[in-house]
Amino acid sequence: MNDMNTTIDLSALDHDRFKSWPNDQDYCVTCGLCSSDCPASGIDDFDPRKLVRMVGLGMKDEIIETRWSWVCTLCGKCQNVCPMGVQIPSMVRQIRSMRDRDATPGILHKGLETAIQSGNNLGLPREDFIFILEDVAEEIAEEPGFEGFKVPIDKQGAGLLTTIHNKLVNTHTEDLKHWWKIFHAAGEDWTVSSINWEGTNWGYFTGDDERMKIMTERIVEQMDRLEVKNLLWPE
Amino acid sequence: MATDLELKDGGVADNVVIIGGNACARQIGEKMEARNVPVVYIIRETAAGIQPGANVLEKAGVTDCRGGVGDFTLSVRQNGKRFTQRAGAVVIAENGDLRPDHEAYGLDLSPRVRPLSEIANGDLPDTVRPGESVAVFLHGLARESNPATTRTVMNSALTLARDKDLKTYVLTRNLKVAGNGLEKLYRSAREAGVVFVKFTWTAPEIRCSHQEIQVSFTDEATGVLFTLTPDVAAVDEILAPSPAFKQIQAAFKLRTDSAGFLQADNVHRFPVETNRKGIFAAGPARGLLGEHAWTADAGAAAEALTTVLQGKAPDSAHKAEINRNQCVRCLTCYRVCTYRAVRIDIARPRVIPEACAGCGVCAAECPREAIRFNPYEPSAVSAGIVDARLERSEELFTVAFLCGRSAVPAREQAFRNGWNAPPGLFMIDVPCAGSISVNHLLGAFQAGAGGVLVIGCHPDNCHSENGTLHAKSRIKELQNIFDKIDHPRDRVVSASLAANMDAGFVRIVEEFENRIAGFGAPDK
Ligand code: SF4
Ligand code: SF4
Ligand code: SF4
Ligand code: SF4
Repeated sequence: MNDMNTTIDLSALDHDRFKSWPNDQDYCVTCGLCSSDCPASGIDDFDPRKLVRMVGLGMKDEIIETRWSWVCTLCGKCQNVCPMGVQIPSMVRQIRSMRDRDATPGILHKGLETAIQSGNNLGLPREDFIFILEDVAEEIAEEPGFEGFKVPIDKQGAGLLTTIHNKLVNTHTEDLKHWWKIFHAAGEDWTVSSINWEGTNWGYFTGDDERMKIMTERIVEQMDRLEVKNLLWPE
Repeated sequence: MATDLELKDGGVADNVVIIGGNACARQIGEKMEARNVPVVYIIRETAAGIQPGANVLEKAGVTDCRGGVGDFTLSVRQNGKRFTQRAGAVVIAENGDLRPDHEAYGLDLSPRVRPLSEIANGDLPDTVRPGESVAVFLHGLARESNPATTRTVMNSALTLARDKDLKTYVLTRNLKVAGNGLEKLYRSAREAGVVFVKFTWTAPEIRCSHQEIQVSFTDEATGVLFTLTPDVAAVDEILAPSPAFKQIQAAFKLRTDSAGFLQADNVHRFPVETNRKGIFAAGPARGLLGEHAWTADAGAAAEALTTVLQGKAPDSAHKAEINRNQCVRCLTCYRVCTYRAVRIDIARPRVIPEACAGCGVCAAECPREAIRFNPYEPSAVSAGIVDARLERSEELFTVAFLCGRSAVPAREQAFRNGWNAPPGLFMIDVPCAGSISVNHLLGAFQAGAGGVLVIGCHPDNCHSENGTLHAKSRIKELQNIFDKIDHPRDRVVSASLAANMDAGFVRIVEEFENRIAGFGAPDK
């Protein structure tokens, strides 16, 4: 919130405004357990109890405006300790969903737009994606014990489909190797889709349920297309 | 199922007198009747609510209570008539008064500032308009809240929010929802839209004029400054002793707590005992409010009554006895006995053995040395000290008198922890530090003690209420004498302990021994 020093007439607020939200936030007893368990407490003065309380009191403008809902990592520790069963992460998503989409934090906004258009947050073309994967596979094949290693892209009827976090084909390609070596050692029959492989779902993080569904459905479509029964979604 | 109590042989009265007719009193009565114990209710009001057929003296009061457990004689006044009523044991469950706590909030009652029970009864000021008005409950902000009041506050707030569609706020410190159904009530109140504001470090500022009430505060969870302008503010109520308590206290000679309830602030009395054996205080009489507290007390009182009527209550091993030939009827004993065990028979004091708790305070205080308190007679104790001195070869000989309720258990624990008593120290266990007279102290010095230590309970926690204080004043008395004869006054020392303070005990003894060693052995 911008100005903590303004005085608000409490009875002018509509306390029932968010009553329909299914997060039980109204039962909060302001015990503060969530705040003491939250890894993000203290960042920019955030703590989850503040948000729960503001929602309970119906402080609509303030919760939309504050950065606090964006400080939360949606890790869910708070919810584990809350004696009143308040579903805080779900409430935080609800708050995020109230912002105009172009007012959501820049990187998330842009990434999600790109993903909706291109299938991944980076806007990485299919050929580049395949090139990167094969390049990583070649490096693995040079290591003892992994001779002849190949990455099984779009393998029809594989046992397991795995999604890819965009940073693994961007800055963290080393991390791909750990996964793949394990698959290899375990004799896993696995595959990667060459399209809509994006594992992150920024629709989820921004409280954008509609786009969250689109991103999810795309993954399911790949399972159908490749006739794979099992999904590994490391996000 | 009714069961016959096996009463103590020789008990004169086997009945119970219950003072009061409220739900707590009635539960005690029903429990005793179920045990086939005759019950007599004495109530100030009418017998409304008491089961038909019960033995009730209504519109009656007790003006005096003589005797001891198993044999009390109550003086009763009813409709201008006076008569006596025997009782084996008595329980007082008289109602207190509910008083609005507005003064603690700096408020006066006004058309907008109303007592909680009025609002709870649905009695709203004309200024309140359904669907528009704002109501505020002030609860437990000035002192610890009571769960029974919390229940009333939440019920009333729920009703105002749900049935009158008022914007309803509860301003509170701790909201204690541990009682039966209270958390559910909290949830229902929240669902109805009641907003709770909890204060831990701060307090709301409440200003009140003829026109309006202004409440402002910082919400501690968010740090936001809020104001409220309620159309009605309900102030919660606290239980206070009613005027009848003073009269009951005087009639039964009970020790009260600081507020005037009929049980002293002394852990030894919990849950339902008073300073008089066989007289109990339950529920509102000892300041408790709420159905659950009353039910718990009724159970505790029924158990306690049963125990004393069966003669199974722990009794003291030693009893004081007055030698009538030596007594000059100064009535010091009558005044100092916390347990009201000294009775006056035609201007002559007599100890009622059943009521005597064996503290020895009267014997130590009697100016005529007319009270025998075996085996703690000063002459006998002094003889024991002389023997102990002869058995010890140490240069420095010291004596400690230890109260059986505090210092003795602390010492026993110290022994179990491997403590070794200084070889020159002789310890004498006594029932209460208040039983130590100047004669006891002088006897120790005469036997050659270089120093004398008396350890009693903490003054607020003394079973005989004033035992430690009596001991301390005896010691002062002796110190004043020492000052006059240029003898180090700190050769006699008093200290206080709780029974679990074994380390404290060791430290007190060490400091005492060091101090006396500094003075050296006394002149022969
Ligand atoms: S979900 Fe958000 S508010 Fe809850 S503990 Fe994690 S970071 Fe904190
Ligand atoms: S832990 Fe639950 S009840 Fe406690 S402050 Fe947080 S949300 Fe409220
Ligand atoms: S204190 Fe002693 S002298 Fe005085 S009345 Fe009692 S017994 Fe008698
Ligand atoms: S020994 Fe104590 S309880 Fe007994 S009569 Fe004397 S003062 Fe009262």
